[in-house]
Amino acid sequence: MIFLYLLLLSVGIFSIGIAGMVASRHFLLIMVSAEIALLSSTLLATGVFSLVAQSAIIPFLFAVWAIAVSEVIVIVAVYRLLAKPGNGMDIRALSKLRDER
Amino acid sequence: MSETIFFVLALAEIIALLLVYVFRDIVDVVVSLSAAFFINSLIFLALNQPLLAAIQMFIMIGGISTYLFVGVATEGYLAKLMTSKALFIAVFAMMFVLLSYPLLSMGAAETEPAQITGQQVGSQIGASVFYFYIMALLAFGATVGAIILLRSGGKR
Repeated sequence: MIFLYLLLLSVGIFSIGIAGMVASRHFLLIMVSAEIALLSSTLLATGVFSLVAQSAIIPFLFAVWAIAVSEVIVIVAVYRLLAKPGNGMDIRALSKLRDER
Repeated sequence: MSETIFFVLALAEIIALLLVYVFRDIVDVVVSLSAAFFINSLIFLALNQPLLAAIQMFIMIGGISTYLFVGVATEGYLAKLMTSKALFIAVFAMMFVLLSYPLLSMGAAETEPAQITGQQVGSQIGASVFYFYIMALLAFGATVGAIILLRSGGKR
C-alpha cells in the first residue's frame, strides 16, 4: 500500500509543479515550479526502485539532478539580462524589453 | 516504513510546497521550498535510501539557494501575489485526475525494499562514467562561456 500512496504523492507533487508553472507569472516562481516537477520524478523513481523493481536508476537520478541544477545557470543568466533599473521578473512585463535595443 | 510516518511526511511536504505559492516574500518562498526538499530527503530515508537522501539534499537545497540570492538581488518582495489561485486549483485538479488514473490502474506489486549503496553507484555508472565526465566538462564550459558572453554584452 505504501507504493500506492507514494505514487499518489508523486503525482500530487508533479501536479503542483505544473499548476504553478501555468498559474504563476513571476519568473522565479515558474523556475521553482519546474524544480518541484523534477522533485516528483526523483521521488517516483526512488519509490519504484525501492518497492517494486530493483533496477539501475542511478544514471536516471543523476540526469534529473543535472537538469535541476542547470536551471540555476538559466536563473543567473536571466538575472544578468534583467538586472537593469525598471526591469522586474513579471513575465507579462517582459514585452517592454522589446523597446530596449 | 510505517504508514503513519509516511502520511505525516507527505502532508508536511504538500503543505510546504503549497506555501511556495502563498508567500509574498521571495525569502519565505525559498525557505519553504528548502523545507519541502528536506522533507523529501526524509522520505528517502524512510524508504531506506540514505545515500540518495544525502545527495538529494545537498544538490537540490544547494541549487535553490541561488534562487534566494537572485530573488533578494532583484526584488525581495513581490508587489502582489503572482499566482492565480483559481487557475492553480483548476490545473492541479485536472493534472492529478488525468495522471493518477492510469498510474493507479498499473497494478504494480511491492517487493522487499532494496537499498542503493555506494558500491551500486560504481557498478551502475561505471561503464558510462566517461560520458558523465564529458557532459560535466561541456556544462562547465557552457557556463563559463555564457558568463563571458553576458559580461561582454553588458559592457556594450
